[in-house]
Amino acid sequence: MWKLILRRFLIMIPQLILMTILLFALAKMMPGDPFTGRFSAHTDIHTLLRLRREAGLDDPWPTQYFRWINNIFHGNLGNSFVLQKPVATLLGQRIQNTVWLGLLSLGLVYTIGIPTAVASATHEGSFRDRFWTTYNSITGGIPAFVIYIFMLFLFGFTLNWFPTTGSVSIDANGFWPVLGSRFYHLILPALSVALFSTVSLFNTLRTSLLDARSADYVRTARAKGVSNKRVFWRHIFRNSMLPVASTFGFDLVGIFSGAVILETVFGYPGMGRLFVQSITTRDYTTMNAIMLFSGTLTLIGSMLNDIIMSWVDPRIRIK
Amino acid sequence: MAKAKKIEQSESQAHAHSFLKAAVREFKRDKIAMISFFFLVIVVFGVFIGSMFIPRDAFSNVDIMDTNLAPFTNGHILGTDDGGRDEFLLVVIAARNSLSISIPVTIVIMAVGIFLGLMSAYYGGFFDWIWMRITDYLSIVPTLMILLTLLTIINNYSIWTLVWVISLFSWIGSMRFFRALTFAERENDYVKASKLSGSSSLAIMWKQIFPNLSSQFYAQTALAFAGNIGLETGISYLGYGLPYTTPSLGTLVNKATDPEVMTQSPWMWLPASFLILALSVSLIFIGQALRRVADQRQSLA
Amino acid sequence: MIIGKNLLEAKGVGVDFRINGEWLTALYNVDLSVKPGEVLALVGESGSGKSTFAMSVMALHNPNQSRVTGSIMLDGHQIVDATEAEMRELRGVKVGMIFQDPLSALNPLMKIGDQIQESMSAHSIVPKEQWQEHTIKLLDEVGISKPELVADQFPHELSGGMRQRVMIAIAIANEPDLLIADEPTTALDVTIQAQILDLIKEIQAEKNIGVLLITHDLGVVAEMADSVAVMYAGQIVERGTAEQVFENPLHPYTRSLLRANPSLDTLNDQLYVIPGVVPALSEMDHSRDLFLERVPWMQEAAKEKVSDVPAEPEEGHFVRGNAWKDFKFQDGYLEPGRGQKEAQSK
Repeated sequence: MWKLILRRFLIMIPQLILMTILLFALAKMMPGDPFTGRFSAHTDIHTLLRLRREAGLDDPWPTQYFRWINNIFHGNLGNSFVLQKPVATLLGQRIQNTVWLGLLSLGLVYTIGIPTAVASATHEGSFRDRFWTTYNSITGGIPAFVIYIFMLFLFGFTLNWFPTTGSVSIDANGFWPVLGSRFYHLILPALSVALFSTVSLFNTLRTSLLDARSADYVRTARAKGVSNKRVFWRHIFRNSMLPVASTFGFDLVGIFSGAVILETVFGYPGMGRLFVQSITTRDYTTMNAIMLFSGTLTLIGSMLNDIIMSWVDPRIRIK
Repeated sequence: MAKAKKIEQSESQAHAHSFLKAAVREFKRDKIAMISFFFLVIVVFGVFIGSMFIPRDAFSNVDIMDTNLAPFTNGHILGTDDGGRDEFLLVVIAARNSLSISIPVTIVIMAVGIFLGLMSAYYGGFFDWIWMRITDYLSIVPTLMILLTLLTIINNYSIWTLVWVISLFSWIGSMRFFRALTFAERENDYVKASKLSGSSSLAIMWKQIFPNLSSQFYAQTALAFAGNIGLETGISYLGYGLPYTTPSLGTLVNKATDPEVMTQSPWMWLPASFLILALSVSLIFIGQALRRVADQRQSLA
Repeated sequence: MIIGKNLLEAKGVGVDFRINGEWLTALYNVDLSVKPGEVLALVGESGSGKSTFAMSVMALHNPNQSRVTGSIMLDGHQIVDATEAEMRELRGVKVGMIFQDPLSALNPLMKIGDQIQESMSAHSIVPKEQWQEHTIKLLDEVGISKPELVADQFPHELSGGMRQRVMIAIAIANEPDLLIADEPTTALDVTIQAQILDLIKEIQAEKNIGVLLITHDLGVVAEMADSVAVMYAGQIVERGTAEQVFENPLHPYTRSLLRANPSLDTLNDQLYVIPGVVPALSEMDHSRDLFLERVPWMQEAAKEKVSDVPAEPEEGHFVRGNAWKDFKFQDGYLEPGRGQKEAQSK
């Protein structure tokens, strides 16, 4: 088992390296550098050039690349051009917010997706089934941001049920009030995402359940005299969750990649929103750091996926 | 040999013909899909033809007298925006612009997707391996963020720049889809028979395999179209697609980011939002109907 | 167990399936019986309905898509129209079943030991404290060395033969009176086949279980069966003791089957091939003798209606239809030993 994790980890490393190179190249294509924001029209161009040289901006790209990587390992993600603060600090709080939102969203997706898929599969062809199948095919294809805006408009502004911006109320004090306030701010965006991201889970689970129903091992279980309830949960359901587990890592990552639009609509101060704000201000250091973080998260997610699969499926585990 | 070629040709023609028939039958049966289809056709033709009639300067003239008018005042059916521009005309133009991007994008990614997917699965081996590594990799990078970054780097862009950038990552899904289908087809006898009779690989792929995939191809195109509308309008909403001077539906929706506008003047962003939804949903219904046709034909074959 | 009576008694059993909205008949007027401790082989080609019958005994068909008519008595319990609750009491307790492909018949995500214990936990025959012990004992009984190790393994870690042994262990966990074996050796290597058959024979003898052995392999029948029932297109065409059916086959189908089976006695130049194929469900007219459609020189007789009541030329030896009386192979082939009988009866 540990060997598998190690192997998977080793595979991830070249992918990670490749990505950092890609992002580095992207960063170099961006106009401007750390000094563009700091000077006025009176600054002497020679000073500017000297400062740039000293900061190592004239060094050959490979050198700059390795310096950047080295900095990252030391926790230094550079300084934001615009805010003149270390990016790492900026990211810290934002990442937490995004993570909470992501986890709640994912939880809701599973909470909605699993029971509806089970209901659909066990009542195949019924109105219930057709309703949920249609619901999922529609929600899977329409642009999410329009729905988010509607949700915000309806539940946030018109009905005033939920706050329309921010992650926590300013006047919340103490552990529980703050927690409660955070949660309150999370619900609307999390629910909005969840209602529209159940497609892949629903389809996968429903299909597996229907297939498993006619599986040979289910027939064996029934031939043993096992009760229908147990046949369903222990054999059909349990085995059907396997393909679902195989997408868990990607679901996790998908939640984060959707954060850009989600957080922008709901005014939620997370990583995604920070990214959009940095683009507006042309804060390339921050943009770069966020992309790096995001990409790394994805790689970890895919690694996590493989590990989960091998843990859950004994056929893969024992080789 | 010539006769065989003729048979091949007429077969693929017959194939396309019967698909059309089957599709028409399905649409007659599925009323919703049919309504969606007509809706789509009307909107597409409507906005493209309609926008030809809108004078060029309808938007550069900011009429300060008529700003923020609610619907149905002063002859403006959908009201005006904060610059006094007629909202209805705005929506028409925006729809045309959005479609001008999403249609080419769809064509590009479907073309690339089927081309690469077919070849990759057909040739297999190293060629396939390399493309699989590439697509695996590209699915891991944060695509939306990179797209936005590229759009800020590239300064003056035209519709075509936008099309290429948006297409940059979207072809992957379509390629994988057709690759999987081709793998299944590859094992069929008719492929082996063709190989034996000496047809070139290209001929086999296009004249033999593709017709069998064509039904799925059309279904997938409709669904991809819906997705691309979403992608383009999303990017414009964030502010990185089309600017306000040549707005897309997304840019119009962007008005809603201002809470005041959102609540006080909903006519500025609601029509565009509805249109986006309506177009996407119609395409989904159409795509599903086509997919049903494709599946039926699959089981017949 | 009621001594003297048949363990399994099927009379006039019919099974219809609903396919694409239409009801089609898969089994028609099936009569057969298994005595306690007897091995009955149900023989026929693929598609003849043998597995359908087996599933009917366990009432494993989907009630929405199938109809079972007639009477199936399992040790005094009527199976046809029994409730699901009643069936659950019987499955695994009075009758156990093993299937053709042991890999797909076992849950890939469950340990072997757990799957065996599930048989016990579904019923209250073996007390909970003994489950673990009983599992090991069962694995040992079916000839698995190192049972403790195997109990902790997963199906894919075992060989085909071992998996089938496990299936047998699962089926006999609650000591049923009847074992239904649906093509138990078809998916196995030839060398393993013999081992599994020996195992079944051993268990049958030891526990005096009745066995309904379903197979298309006449060699297996010859080895194991006390009685034989031959099935074609959902009907029983011939039925009797193994001796009767092998040495005095009557129905044209039985005779063709036996002839098509190469053995050392009949070294011919060509293998005998039965022309034609089993008809599709929708094309079967069960009032006639369906096999005759495949006999080119008996097309007239094929159109005749045939009684549902079989003839009984010898005691206990039943045959359907009338064609058996004057059926001859086109090339004049006569089974060894038959010539004298025919001469005698003339």
